[in-house]
Amino acid sequence: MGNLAAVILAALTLLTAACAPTAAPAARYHAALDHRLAGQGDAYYREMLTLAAADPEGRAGRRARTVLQGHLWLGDLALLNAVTDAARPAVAANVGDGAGAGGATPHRPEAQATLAAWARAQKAFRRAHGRYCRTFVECGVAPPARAHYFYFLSDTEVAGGSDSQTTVELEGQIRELLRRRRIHPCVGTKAYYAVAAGTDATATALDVWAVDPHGPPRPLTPAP
Amino acid sequence: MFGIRRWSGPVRWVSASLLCGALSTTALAAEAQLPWELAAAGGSDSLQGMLAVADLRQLDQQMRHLALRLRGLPAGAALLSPPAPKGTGPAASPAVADADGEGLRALLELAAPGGGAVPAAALLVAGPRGLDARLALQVQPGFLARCAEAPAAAYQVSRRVPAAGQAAPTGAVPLRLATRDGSAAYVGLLFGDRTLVLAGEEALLPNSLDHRPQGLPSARLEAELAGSQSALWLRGDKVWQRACAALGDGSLRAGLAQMEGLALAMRSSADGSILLRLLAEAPWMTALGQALAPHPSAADSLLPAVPAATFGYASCQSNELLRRLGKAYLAAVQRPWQLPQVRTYGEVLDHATGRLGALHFAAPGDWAVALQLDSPQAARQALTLAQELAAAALPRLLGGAVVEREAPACVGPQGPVLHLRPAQAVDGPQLVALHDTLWLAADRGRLCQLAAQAKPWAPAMPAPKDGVLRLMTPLLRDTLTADSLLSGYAVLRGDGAWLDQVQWLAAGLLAPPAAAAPAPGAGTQSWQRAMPQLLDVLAALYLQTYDLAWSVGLRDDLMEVTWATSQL
Repeated sequence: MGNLAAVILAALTLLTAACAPTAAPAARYHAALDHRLAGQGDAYYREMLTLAAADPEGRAGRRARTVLQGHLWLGDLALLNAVTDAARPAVAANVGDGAGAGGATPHRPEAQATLAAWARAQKAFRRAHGRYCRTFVECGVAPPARAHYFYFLSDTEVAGGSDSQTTVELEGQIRELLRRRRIHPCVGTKAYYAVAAGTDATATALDVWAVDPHGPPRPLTPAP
Repeated sequence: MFGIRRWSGPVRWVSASLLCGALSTTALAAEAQLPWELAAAGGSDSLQGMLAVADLRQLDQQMRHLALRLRGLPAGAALLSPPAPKGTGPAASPAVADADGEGLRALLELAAPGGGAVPAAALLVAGPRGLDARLALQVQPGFLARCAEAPAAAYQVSRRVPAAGQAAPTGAVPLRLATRDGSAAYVGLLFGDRTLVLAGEEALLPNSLDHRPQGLPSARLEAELAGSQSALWLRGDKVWQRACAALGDGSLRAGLAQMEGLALAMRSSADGSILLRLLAEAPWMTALGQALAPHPSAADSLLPAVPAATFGYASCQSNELLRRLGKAYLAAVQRPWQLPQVRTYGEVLDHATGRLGALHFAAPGDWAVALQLDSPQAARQALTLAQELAAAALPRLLGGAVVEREAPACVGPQGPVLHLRPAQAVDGPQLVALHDTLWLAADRGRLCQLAAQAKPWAPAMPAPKDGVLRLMTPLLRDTLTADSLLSGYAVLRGDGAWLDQVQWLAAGLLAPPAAAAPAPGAGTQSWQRAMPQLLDVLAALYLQTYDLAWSVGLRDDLMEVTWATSQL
């Protein structure tokens, strides 16, 4: 009797193993979202790619495909925005507007882009770890190799400025400006305040930008 | 309660119910009936609007589940939990927050014990002090007896003596409802042991419930809204016109001021689909319909030819206005393009009585455009004229462009293909007449697939269920197959990262000028704190949404805009 039960049990085990369904596509899609929430970007994309390949004509597979494709119209708008930003200095130079007059400067896109990347990295880091990262290394974000701006995450965590001919002197000027205007870059558990500062195209004035969790990078007014 | 590993559950729920309270875990009434008869509690002259709910208990369950599930998301918890006062410990726990609606649930149990449906309506009434609100519930017989036997209820219900100089309406029992802690009190009237009307003060209660106001809402709107689970209806009346006056003197104001009625209705299904319908009644819609004659709205006859691989689709019913615009455009370009026989092109446009559609597919740059005519002969004639048009215009518009007439095997006897090459030996869009439709596809592969499944369709045929409709839920399928002037469908793209851009845009627009920006570390506004969490919740919703369908229809003096989404 005991042998019969064991045989039945073994048969049932084999049957259920053979018949066990693979995870439903929708469940796999949700699992991918789990990975995303947990900050596991590689697992998120791996799951989405697998789903898009395994179930290309199902609802979950089709949604995975559109997720992987990104946005069409908004992506185009972002590209247009980038092109416009890139073309603006040339336009300003040709029409005699902007540089040196407090308007757009050629280097500003660098400060905006770097601070925006920093903000995105902070958001992802907080999702994964419940706090904001405190150093460039921890965040995995670094300024461009030949940065025109200095980037302050705190008084001690500073990077960039490698393109300046008078790096030390310029950093001193920036620190003095920040001190005079009572601007204190910092990273806390629930907030951060990062600053980018550098010279505009004519090197006659300091251009200062800041970013925090509540909005895009924004310029701070010139020093009085 | 909900950890990270429960993410998929909350997300599924949030996505299914955030917009309108739809909830897949709640059984849905098969035949939901909106209690329009409760409009009688508003009075024919003073009733300005009404939120009718087929089952208030179901709505309450949906809202409770929504709150619980939202609190399961990190962003949702941060969004919903009130900030704790300094030094008083953590914010309210979900258990405490869940007690918020205890009073309402006790009242619902008194109204319909045992989980029965409670039809209800919130009535917007014009009074001497402006707009006031009343709540009307349909209760099951024995309401007063149940009140007397429910000492543990959150509400204490007692009979009320009318104020001096006032008498209770005939057949109505005056009541007073008060929370046991005395934090809130309402006066009410129970009409015929069937209808309970509640208000903040006695003067706001109705004098009778004898007659439902005629035409509030109109029989037309009421019939259109049948089957909805809830509907907000606004009356186009003096109050509405006063509100429109704030828009200035433009044509928009004039059009809105003539609105006789406006309704927003919601319906959900157990598969997580949500259907929103906006209906507007205005006399000028009739004139608009006449301008779009002969068929302002019609079934989408292009749908059977739309392949299952379509990821985005939009179509427009051809009408006289569009044909006139097309002829005027051809007349305008005739001279610069040196087109021959412009009159003939106009004649072809006269045969364009079907749909004009645009499709895009999964791969980038994979698209198709369709123009449906009234017969295969008209489609072939249109192809011939299109060849003349392209041969005359393309070389002028694109230097080096070539128009070639080809006969690929995949199209077979259905006719030649016009290959619009931007330059010699460079592939370009291709045009073919398949049955009664002129198709322009991005490349040969797409053209061949369209040709393989092209089939003639007639209005008498049953609604198609394959093709692009195959993967749709019934609510979306109904949206797309209903008579419409415009309609569209899309599988959502991307992962909602664009919401970050929205957040940044909003922050940039609403933030104070840089000169007045607070010092680093200074306090932020409540909306600044809530926006990231709200957008995170919306991103979760976006990721869970699979597709959406929409349509705009025009029937006599009624315009209907329908929007439906479904979740994974």
